[in-house]
Amino acid sequence: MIRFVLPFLLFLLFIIEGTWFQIFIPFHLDNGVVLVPRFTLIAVVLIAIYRGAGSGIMFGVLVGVLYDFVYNELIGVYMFSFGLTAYISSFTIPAVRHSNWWQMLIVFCAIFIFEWLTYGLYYLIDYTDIYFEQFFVMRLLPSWILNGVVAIVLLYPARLLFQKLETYEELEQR
Amino acid sequence: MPHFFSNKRLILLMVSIIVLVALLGFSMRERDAITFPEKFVRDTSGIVQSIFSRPAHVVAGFFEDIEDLLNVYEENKLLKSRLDEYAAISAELASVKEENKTLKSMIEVEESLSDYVMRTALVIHRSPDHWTETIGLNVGERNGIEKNMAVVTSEGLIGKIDSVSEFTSTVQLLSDSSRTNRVSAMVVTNDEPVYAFIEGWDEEREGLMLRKIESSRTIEEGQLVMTSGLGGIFPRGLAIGEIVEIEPDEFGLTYNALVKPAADFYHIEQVNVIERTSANLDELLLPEKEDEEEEDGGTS
Repeated sequence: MIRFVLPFLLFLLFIIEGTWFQIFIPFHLDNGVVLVPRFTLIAVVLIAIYRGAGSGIMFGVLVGVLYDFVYNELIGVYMFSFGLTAYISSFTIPAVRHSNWWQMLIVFCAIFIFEWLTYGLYYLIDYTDIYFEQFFVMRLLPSWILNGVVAIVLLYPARLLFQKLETYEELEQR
Repeated sequence: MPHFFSNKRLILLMVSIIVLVALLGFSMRERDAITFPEKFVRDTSGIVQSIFSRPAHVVAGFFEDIEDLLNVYEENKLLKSRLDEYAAISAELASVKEENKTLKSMIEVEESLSDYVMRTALVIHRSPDHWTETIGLNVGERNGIEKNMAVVTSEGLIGKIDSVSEFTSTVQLLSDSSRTNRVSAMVVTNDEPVYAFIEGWDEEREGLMLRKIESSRTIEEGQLVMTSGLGGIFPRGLAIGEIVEIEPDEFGLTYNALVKPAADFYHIEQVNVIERTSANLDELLLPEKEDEEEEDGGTS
């Protein structure tokens, strides 16, 4: 049972991003600012930090496939971006695992890399034609703030969760 | 990270980039239908999403109701003044409909471009990255939804069905910036309607762009824009919006207009999917055209 906890939580975050967030939060503000929730990305990065690159990439690619299949007809952009971001952010050093500051820094960098990667890919295949400056001000900064706040809120419960999972898994293995 | 880019990983990265390009190439071309795994994933998540979206819509609706409650007095005043107007217009509509019916029967026309049937649907998701503007509905093939059907709210046209799975379908909104997003529209004037195309969304001025308006025709700000039914996808006479700005295009040959959409693209809860019932002109014409081409090919 315990191994279904992480996929279940990821799926829940995925649904919240696409359904609840879009209904409740006025993502479209008057001045053209776009708020993009990346809660699943935060979760994938944390998985990569606590569980290592392997499971980080696995969950990342799975979430990416879900994203691509459900929201876009275009397949591959999110799969690749999630996988690569998970790989880059997989610092499985004890110092990182025990320090919220390090994790926060990594999550912040991951959000930047991820947004920049998806923007770059979309720009490359002509799905968008906005310039980087505009993208930076209208999309990256607002979503950085939004997801940064969410990440700060999630960090402590995430650490408790991963510790719990670890002890349960050890118990199961005995 | 001592082995960040060891040989094995570098090869793995290369392979994944190749896979990415292959997948992009596969999915970027015009596809008639989505593949089976996509349908399966969409249906599964669609069921969960519709469970989640219903209570959320109720809660969001509750807050909207409170907001409405505050403006009740003002609204009531305005509505009362419109009520007399409404009675007169509905009487006129009834008589005009009757007249239209008799005239149609006189010239023996059975179907028109504006015939359609409607199905209601609930919005279950919206793409969280707003690179593409799409929303998901909780109806699919099972409910008789097909690609390219028009989708409207009570206020006006919002888009067309982009892809369909068994229980869900996605809608490409008019505000999507994709190049294939084009609607044949008409401007309602006092005499003959003026035909043009709705093409894309103006990010800065927050409106739809109506392009290729003939420069010989005069249109004014405030005139209504509707679907023309000539594109073969939408029925005739669905409201799109009204003109707010007119300007000549880059070459000075035609006019462009900025259209303020009648429907709200941001708070969508319930929509209607419209199926056009009149026979499609294209289907009647296409076989002939192909024959001609074949003949041409044979002679040359």
